[in-house]
Amino acid sequence: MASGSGAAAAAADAEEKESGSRMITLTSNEGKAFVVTEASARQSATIRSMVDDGGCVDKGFPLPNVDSKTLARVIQYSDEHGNKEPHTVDERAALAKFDRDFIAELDADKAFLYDVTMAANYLHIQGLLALTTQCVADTIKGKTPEEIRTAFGIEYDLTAQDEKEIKEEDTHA
Amino acid sequence: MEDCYAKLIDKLISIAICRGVEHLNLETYLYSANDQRPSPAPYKFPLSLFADGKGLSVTKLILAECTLSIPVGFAGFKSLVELSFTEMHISEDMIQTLIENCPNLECFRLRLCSGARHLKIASPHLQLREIMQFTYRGPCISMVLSSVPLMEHACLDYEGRRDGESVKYILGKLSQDFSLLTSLSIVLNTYRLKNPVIPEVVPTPFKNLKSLTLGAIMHCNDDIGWVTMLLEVAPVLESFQIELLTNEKREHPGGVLWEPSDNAHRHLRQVKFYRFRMRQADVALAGLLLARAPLLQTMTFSRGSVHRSPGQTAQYVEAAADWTAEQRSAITRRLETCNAFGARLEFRRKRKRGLGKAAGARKRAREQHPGVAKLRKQHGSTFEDRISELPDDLLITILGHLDTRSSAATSVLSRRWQHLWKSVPKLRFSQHDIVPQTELSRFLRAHEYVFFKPSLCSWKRRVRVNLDRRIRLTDMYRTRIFSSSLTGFLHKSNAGDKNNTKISSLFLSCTMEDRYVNLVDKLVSIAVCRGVEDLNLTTSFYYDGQRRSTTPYEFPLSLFTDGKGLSLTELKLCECTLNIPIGFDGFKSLVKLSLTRMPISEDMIHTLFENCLKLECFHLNHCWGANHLFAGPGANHLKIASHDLQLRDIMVNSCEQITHMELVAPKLQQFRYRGPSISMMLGSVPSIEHACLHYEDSRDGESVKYILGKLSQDFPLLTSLSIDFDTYELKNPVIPGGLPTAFKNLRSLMLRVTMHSNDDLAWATMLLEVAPALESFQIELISNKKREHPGGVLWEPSDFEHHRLRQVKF
Repeated sequence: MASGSGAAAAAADAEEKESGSRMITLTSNEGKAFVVTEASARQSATIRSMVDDGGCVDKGFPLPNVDSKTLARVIQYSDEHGNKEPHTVDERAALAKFDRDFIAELDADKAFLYDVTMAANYLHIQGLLALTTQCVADTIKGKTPEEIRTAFGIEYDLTAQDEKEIKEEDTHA
Repeated sequence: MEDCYAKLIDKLISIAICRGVEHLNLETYLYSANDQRPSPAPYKFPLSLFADGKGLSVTKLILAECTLSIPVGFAGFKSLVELSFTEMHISEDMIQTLIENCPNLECFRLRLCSGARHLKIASPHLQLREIMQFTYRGPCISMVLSSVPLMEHACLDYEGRRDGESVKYILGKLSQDFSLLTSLSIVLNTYRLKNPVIPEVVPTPFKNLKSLTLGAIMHCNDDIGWVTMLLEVAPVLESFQIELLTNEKREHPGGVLWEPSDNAHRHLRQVKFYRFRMRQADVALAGLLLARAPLLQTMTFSRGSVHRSPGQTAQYVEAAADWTAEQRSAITRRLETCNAFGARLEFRRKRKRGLGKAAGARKRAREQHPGVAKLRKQHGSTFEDRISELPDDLLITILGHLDTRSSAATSVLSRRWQHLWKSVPKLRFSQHDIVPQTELSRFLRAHEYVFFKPSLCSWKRRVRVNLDRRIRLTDMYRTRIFSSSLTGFLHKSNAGDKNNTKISSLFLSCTMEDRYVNLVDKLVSIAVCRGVEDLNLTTSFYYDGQRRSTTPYEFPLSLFTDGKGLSLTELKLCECTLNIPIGFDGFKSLVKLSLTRMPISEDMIHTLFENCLKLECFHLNHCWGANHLFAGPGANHLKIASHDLQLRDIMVNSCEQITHMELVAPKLQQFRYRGPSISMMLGSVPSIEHACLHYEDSRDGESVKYILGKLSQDFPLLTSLSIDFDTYELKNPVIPGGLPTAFKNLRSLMLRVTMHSNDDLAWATMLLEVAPALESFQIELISNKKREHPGGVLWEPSDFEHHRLRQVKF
């Protein structure tokens, strides 16, 4: 393999580009590089548009808003969803199970969940964004305000005037 | 530690050593809090395993609460690199022997050890000689440092001793002992020191000191003149951090009077004050530094502490209030005369927002709701409010997953959340969200057992009554909450007219009652005014067998006349009425229309399709026409015919009164039908690809005749076909006159047939024979197995070959 001529290597490279299986490098804000398949990277609308515009594919994409830990987790999702296309019922069920496990793990670490949400928002990965925001919404659902504050550590800072305003909105016709 | 463990641990260690262990970490504990038993003897580390050249693999040894009695002349531990003792008894001889034995030792730690008064670490062979880092914590001691030329970093923490010795040592001998330090960190206590510290001579300078961190516990009127002395002997200092802990309340005015000095800190670039409380001493020191340091770039004042949580020094978390504007200007005013070189003054705050008049009121509010603050105290920094730091659009996306009642409830969480919910573009009101269905069904499931147990008859009635009551109560609760949330929302929308955020979707699901009509009308009109795109009204007319309203909800078409409501692209109605008059000109942008359990008429469908030229998707579920419940012109002839239509997807589900269907739709791709067999007139459907036909109760043979006869004529270009029908006890076996015309493109065929077990299936093979391109075939035969007679299926052999068939599923 290593002894192949330059021309052959270039041809193979071109062929690889044709088939869409080229690799793309994403760099986290700590400078760590992650190599992913194009199909996986295309899960992100941000990267997809950059790739389609013929941007610096070879140099890789720096992602100054995403740290390595978060990026690794996001790539775990986009690999699962980008590299496999579910055709059968079983495959679809497996993917749904992956999503469930993925979100259950994140749910345990709320701070990390927000990091992943921010990253999904920044990278425009709709599926992941829907998954994470739904998870947060499920935590809010069916709770009293006091329970929500306790669940998220929100500090109560409404003044009596704010409260009055809210109450007025409620009762005023 | 238990006495009975000693032998086991001995064996374990001996096995580990035989197998070449490198890191050995024994942390045993002698006392447990709840235990009344006499404490066991500390574990005696088995030194015999290391005698005679054994155990040379061990490079790292960590011991806690063991005993290590090293005899004079002990010769083990030759390869040890790291050694750490915690809560152990040490002796001078032992340390001496150890140090002499371990020439490779690089790291040596003692924590909470006792026994030796004079700690001597001195040997010409020692690797430790090249010591680079020195950390000491404990009372002030006398130190003899002879040769430590490579030392770069020292950290000295003289805990809580008020004897003034430590200050004397720091100002007197420290720079002699560590003359080449580049980084120094000191923590000491000078609180109410009787004799103010005035060293007689100026200490020798730290030639290389670049970074100095000073933490002092002091009385607020204490002189910190010695700090300036320390600074003066560090000519190349670049970074200075100071944290002074004092009792704020008792400061006397006046007191700090420092002599002016010509000393200049020519390398000082960065100064950070922690726990800066605007004491005179603090401000005077800051002023002095500003006046003396020409290269100073930033001076940071933070009210937080330097080591709030280790590893997170960059995050200054503050307990109480932020800097107020007055405080900042006071500091700036007091310092500006000194700031000859224009250094930047920074004020560290926790947040950027929220410096208003309401701060005091908010603090009071916080005190009234101590729950979160308490939790935060318990859990430390892991319990921080990260969610409120997310950007607005993300929080709005999160709230978009909730129904409007729940998202409106978040307005009372905090100021951050107060107005967020108003920007959520989706409105969702659902009676069924209020008490989650799961909760009710769990209750039902719990009682199911009782209902089906015949022996528990007397119970049954009582539980049944309970259950009925429970369901009725739940329903009342739902109704009340639902109507109040609806009225509440409408009031808020009326009150705040300035709020014009777009509403992209409105979902409403409830059991219709007469008093809701006005509310729903208003809601729909608000949504239309604010540009709604997706409108879904799922009302139900009956609840639990009872009618709640006199008439079904009439969809307010007036909102859509005269070019209004053009934003609407998706409309889904259930159990409403849609009385479209002839000449109606709304719904021009509609793409998707779905009607469920609604009366339809031929005129209405006709008007609709004349208007909605963009319609792509049209679904009818359980719709009816004439003389059913609501009077109206009948619709047994469904005609969707126009050459301009964009329609791609039609679904007609269980509309039993439709007997004729006429379709002309050039772009139609998918057609689904479920119901009795009907006559179809398909004019022009050239692009149809997928058809799904489900004939219910069709034992008349008509459907089979249609399928084998006309279906392939109607849909000649189908690629995918799914048929579900019933030939059970068909009197006349189906024998079509001739072979039907072929499905040229059919690739996938799915048959689901309910049949008698002795019925002939020959027609299925006929269907296969007219599909030459078929690749995948699935068949499901539902029959009564018990009555199969032997023999009966006699098919003539045929030469037909299915050349493309790859997959068959039975």
